[in-house]
Amino acid sequence: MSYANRPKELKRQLGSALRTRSSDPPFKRNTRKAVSARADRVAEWPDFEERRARATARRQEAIDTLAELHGQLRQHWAKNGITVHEARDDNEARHIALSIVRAAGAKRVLKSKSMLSEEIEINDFLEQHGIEAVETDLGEYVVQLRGEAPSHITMPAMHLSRQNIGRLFAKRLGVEYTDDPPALTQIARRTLRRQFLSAEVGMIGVNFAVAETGHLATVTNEGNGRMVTTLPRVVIALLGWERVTQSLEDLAQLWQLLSRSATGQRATVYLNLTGGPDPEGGCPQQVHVIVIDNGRKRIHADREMREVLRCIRCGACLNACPVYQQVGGYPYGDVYPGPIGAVFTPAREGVRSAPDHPFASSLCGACEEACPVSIPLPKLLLALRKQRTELRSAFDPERGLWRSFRTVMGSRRIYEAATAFARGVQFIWPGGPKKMVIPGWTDHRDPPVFAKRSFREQFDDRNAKPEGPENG
Amino acid sequence: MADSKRALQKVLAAALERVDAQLIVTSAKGVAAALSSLFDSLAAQTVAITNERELVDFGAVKAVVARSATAVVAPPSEKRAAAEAAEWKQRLAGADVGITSALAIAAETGTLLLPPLSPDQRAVSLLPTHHIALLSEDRLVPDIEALFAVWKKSERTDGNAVFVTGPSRTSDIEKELVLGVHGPQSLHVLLIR
Amino acid sequence: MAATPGRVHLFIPCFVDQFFPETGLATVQLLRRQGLEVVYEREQTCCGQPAFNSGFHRDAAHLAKRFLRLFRDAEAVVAPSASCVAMVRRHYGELGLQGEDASTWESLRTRIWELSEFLVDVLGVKQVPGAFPHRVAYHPSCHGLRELGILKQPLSLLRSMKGIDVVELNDQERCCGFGGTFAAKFSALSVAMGEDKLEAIEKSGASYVTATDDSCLMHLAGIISRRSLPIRTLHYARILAGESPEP
Repeated sequence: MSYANRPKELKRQLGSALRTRSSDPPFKRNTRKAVSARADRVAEWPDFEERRARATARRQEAIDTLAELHGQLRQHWAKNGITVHEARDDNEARHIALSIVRAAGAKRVLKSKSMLSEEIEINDFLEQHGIEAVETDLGEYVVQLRGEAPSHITMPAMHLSRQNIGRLFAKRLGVEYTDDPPALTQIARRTLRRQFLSAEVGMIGVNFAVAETGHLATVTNEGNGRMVTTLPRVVIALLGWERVTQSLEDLAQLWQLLSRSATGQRATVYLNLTGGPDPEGGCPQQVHVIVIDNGRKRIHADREMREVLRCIRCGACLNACPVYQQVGGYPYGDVYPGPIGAVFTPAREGVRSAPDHPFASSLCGACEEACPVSIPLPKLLLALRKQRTELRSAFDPERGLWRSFRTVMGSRRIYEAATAFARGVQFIWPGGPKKMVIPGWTDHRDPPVFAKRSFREQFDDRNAKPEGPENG
Repeated sequence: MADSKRALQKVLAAALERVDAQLIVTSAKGVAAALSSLFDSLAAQTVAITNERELVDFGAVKAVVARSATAVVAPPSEKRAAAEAAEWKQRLAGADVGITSALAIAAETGTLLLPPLSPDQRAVSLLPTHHIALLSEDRLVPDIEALFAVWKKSERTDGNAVFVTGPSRTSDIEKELVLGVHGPQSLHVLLIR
Repeated sequence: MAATPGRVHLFIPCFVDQFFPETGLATVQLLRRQGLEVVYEREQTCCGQPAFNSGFHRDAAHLAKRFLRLFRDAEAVVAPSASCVAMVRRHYGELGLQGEDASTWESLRTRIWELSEFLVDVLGVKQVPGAFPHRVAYHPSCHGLRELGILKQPLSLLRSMKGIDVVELNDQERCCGFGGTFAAKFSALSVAMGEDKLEAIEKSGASYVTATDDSCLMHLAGIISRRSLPIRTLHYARILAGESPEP
């Protein structure tokens, strides 16, 4: 599943998604359920806004002191026997992971859900080198069997129906068709258990590394995070450079906010804190952390964009986004879809890599409202739009458009002349304007009609009359 | 004092119900009977239990051994051959019930803090189909913050820790709730007076 | 601002001036009813938001400076458009204004309001005379709702009228899909979002939809007209001013 060029095709993907979606697509229903569940949990905490403000401040503080926190982490890791690797980009991360697996003499890696592992596209790479990468999170397992990418940060199979999954299992696992979710889950449980018990290497994405103690925290509801950190000999933990929190108290807050914001739970079923290899020589014998940059330091260096690194990957912004609700995650063409993706992807790789992403938003602000760490996504989208403008050539037609806009709006005389002209055209050719001027507007909508007399003209007419009948 | 304790227990009962876990409050003397009745309702043939001192004191080990079904008791933590370890995991995976103690439980969410255990013993709360956790009622704390405070005070904060809130679950298929994905299908908390 | 102003400057955005003058006229009427002198500064044109939203800060800043100079000495500025007011109050600060422009902004942003904010929060208006015996769906335009916290104000004024049935839709805070240039750049998406909003309105049984922003209503009206839906758009100022609906 390669993301290399897909972000550039956003507009095309969005159009195609709208044309080909069913009349009641699953992501519409499911995002709305998620929004409602989150709202219930938020309502339970009368001090929710204070908690959110505190978490925001603590998260920002962590981002601003990352170098120091990483220093603390490495001290604990050294003491507890965790091996650290630094990866500047996805390529380095992949090679490091491969070398660990090879050194362990293993042919298979059992994975617990990790967006970061998707970001570095580890699965295909391992497969190319003869190593099987098995997804164990149910939703991830399903999309892996289908050869697809996840369509949502916390609900990978959100775009699929039970019938889709039933047919998939029947075909790929050779079981009798059923579309009953408990039965389907049992099938996956049985199949994956065999894998868990014989696994040599487990791979997790770290939700948070705790600087105070060196712990690697992973949350799951299914138990696969525990499985892959308890049973195999070797554990590989992927850590995004920014996913560090200061203390256990901070972790307690972030875990609760993550649970409530992502899935409307008060707490995920499992919070697993890995301190290091088993001191008695049991499993895991080795714990490796690969700390991955892959554009995060670039974001960090940009003062304006830095605050996006507060993200705790809850997906609440996706669920709240009216654009995401219409098209789901795939059109974004990158591992992080929705509002966070629209910022994170161009911020990480430069706006040239995803030039349309910052514009695919009505800036409604529902994302910022839902974000447990108050990331001002609309403001960041606007900042990216400005960065996009700075890359436009002098001959880019949009430059001309806004220069004209400025000229027209910069003088009342010119403005009145321009609007009088437009009104005149409309008068002479009423059907004409319907297909003109603003491309795109009239594809599915009728354009507004110029009033015969503008406000200014009518105000002048009526100036003597303080109150008159308003009949337009 | 007793009133606030009872009030907290009520909050806990509601919280556990919300996450599809069961709360059983019993006296120290009632533990054996409570366990026996649970084993019956779960049709438990094979039971795994950690070798924690506390479980012996609660009389849980006795109750397990007394049951005529095949019991599986966790071996002591020591270096073992790889083959033995693998066989042990298989037996655990086939067990119906796993029993552990808990360091504390949070009333607001029903979250358990499991005790620090070796990896083999940790799997007792993970691999068998059902999980039973025993703890004394004075281990009941109000919320998750308090749970973390308990852990910080305990000795092994460099080791692993596991927080458990209800049985394993997923809503990955059309957002419909299913219990028992990879971890236990059911969770039963025995709160002992 | 301690005392209520006696003299109010209107800001009528370009699209209201050209497409929805009735909204402007209704605004005038509502303000005069409160005994205020209403001033319309002829040179006004645009707050610069469209350029800003498209990433063209320099062009936006040029228009922002013009706006600030025009309204610098106004006691109070009132506009029937929440998104324009939000632009001035909040986003002008992101345009790199310097010196006198910056200090003008710091001052002016405390003296500019959306109409319903002004009537309710500043003047304390609780009651509006007249009747509007229809079911009206209220759509909280996003900038007003999230940037300015406007919701209760228009609702309270509308509900004080006789015979009116104001419905708040389920998920009312979901964006209608206008979003400025988004409406043209991503038009299929914009319309899909509008259609969902209109579906909710139809389900509510409302024959009217109202909002603080004619831009939202213009977008919805475009879909309504193309699809011949039985819903009419009407800015709330026009309802409050007693505009009787066309037959």
